[in-house]
Amino acid sequence: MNLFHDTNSIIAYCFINDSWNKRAEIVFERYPSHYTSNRVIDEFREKEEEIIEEFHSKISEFSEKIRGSNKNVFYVDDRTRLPRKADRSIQGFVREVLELIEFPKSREELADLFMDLYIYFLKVKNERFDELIESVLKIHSRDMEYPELEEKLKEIGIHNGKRDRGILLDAHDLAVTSSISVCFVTTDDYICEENKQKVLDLLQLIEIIDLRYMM
Amino acid sequence: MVKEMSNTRSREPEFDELLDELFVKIGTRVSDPCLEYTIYKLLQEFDLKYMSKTRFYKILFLIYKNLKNKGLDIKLPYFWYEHGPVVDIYALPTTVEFRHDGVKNTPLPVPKPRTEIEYNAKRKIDETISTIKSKYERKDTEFLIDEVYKYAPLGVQSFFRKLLKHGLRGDGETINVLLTDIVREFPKKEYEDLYSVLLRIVPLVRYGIKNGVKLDELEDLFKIFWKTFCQKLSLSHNENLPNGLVRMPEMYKENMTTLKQKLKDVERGVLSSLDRKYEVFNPLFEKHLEDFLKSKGYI
Repeated sequence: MNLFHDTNSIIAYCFINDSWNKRAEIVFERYPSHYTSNRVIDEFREKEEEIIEEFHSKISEFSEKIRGSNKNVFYVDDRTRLPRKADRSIQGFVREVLELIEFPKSREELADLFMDLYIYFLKVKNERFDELIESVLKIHSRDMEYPELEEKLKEIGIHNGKRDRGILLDAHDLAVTSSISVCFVTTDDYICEENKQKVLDLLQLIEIIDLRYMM
Repeated sequence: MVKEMSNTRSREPEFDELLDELFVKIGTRVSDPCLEYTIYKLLQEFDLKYMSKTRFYKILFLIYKNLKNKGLDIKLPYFWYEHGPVVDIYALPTTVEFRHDGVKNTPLPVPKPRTEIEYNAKRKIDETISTIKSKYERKDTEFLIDEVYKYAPLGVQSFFRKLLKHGLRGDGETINVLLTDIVREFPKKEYEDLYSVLLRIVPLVRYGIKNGVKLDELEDLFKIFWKTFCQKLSLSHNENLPNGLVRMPEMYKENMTTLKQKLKDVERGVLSSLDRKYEVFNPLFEKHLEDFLKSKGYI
């Protein structure tokens, strides 16, 4: 089976804090043949910046808040107080990290710990992406336009033309030009659930697989 | 308005280009007779062999601020930038000519203004120039920049200046403290787009210093960040600019693109120069992170 990965599947694999990371790891490990397209790689490049700014930068910010704190030492009681200093989006994450560490901790130790965590996430993300590009993924580049198919995808409600429709057509083109059977892997509800059968009827894909439930 | 007497470039070519781009073809001048008299008097009183173009602007700004404190506004057209306030040279009421002597651009005296100004205003200007002369005439440019920075509108500017003067190769503890000051003082809401970039640069710089890696690249990145910040700063912190800063919003946009690309490159460089995964982390952190990641099913 040849898997064609949508952007969210690659994000799930590269970002170890992604909800579907474990699933993505298993999928990449278990199946031998993985494809994607240049369009997906471009989208990943944009999305990774958004993810870093919206999630990881908040860890960096929290680390800096600790560093700028007036307290020299943090005690076990701070486990409940400290998460409130973090951005709402990472409060749960911070709470879990604080539960695992021993107190007391100096301001610098605690700030370094979260900074290290931030650096670690980014480093692993880079390593995993490089690994995919260099030795796992075959990147397909489409020459054909398929205007009729694109119009039909639009009619069934697949929006975001350059991206969603374009990526689906990339997977279709791979199947057509390489004469291989292709499964499309994504976490996009709109493609996995509501429009799955309609998409399969239109394109030369043998299956659309929801990464979240793939085992 | 300023005329160059020589084709030789000054020691700040990039700076001159910026000014040319921003002002040269627009040409509306501030028509304040007190400002005209101040320029005339300054160039009369100061020993011009110690004067350069940059020092002329900084001294003019210091005189402007001193006079303003005394209740006299000479309406100096300027904006804040990397090295302090930059005077809109093309909007001055009198044309100042500079002679390039191979090392610096020296301003030449200007003719006495035709319009007489009120006695009290003249007295204040004369006294202020005399005071500024005694304090700053022979001081070097860096000293003058430090002096004008005392008037910086945002607290974070002084910390940036200190860090850039210090460089990333000096005492790590000083740098770490300055980074903390910068993040704490950074105007987060007004500069939201740059704040998220800063939050990515600071841990890289801390890591770079800690591990002694990519310091030149990190310093370049920091300078680009500072320049971009100053471009935005100039748009909100300026006075008496008759022509505004026409090209600055476009330059800011271009620089943001450069900054983000540079950040990605340097980030990748710093991260790849670190040992794999936890090996660089202290054992305490390593243990807890590993436990944490296992508990989350990450490893």
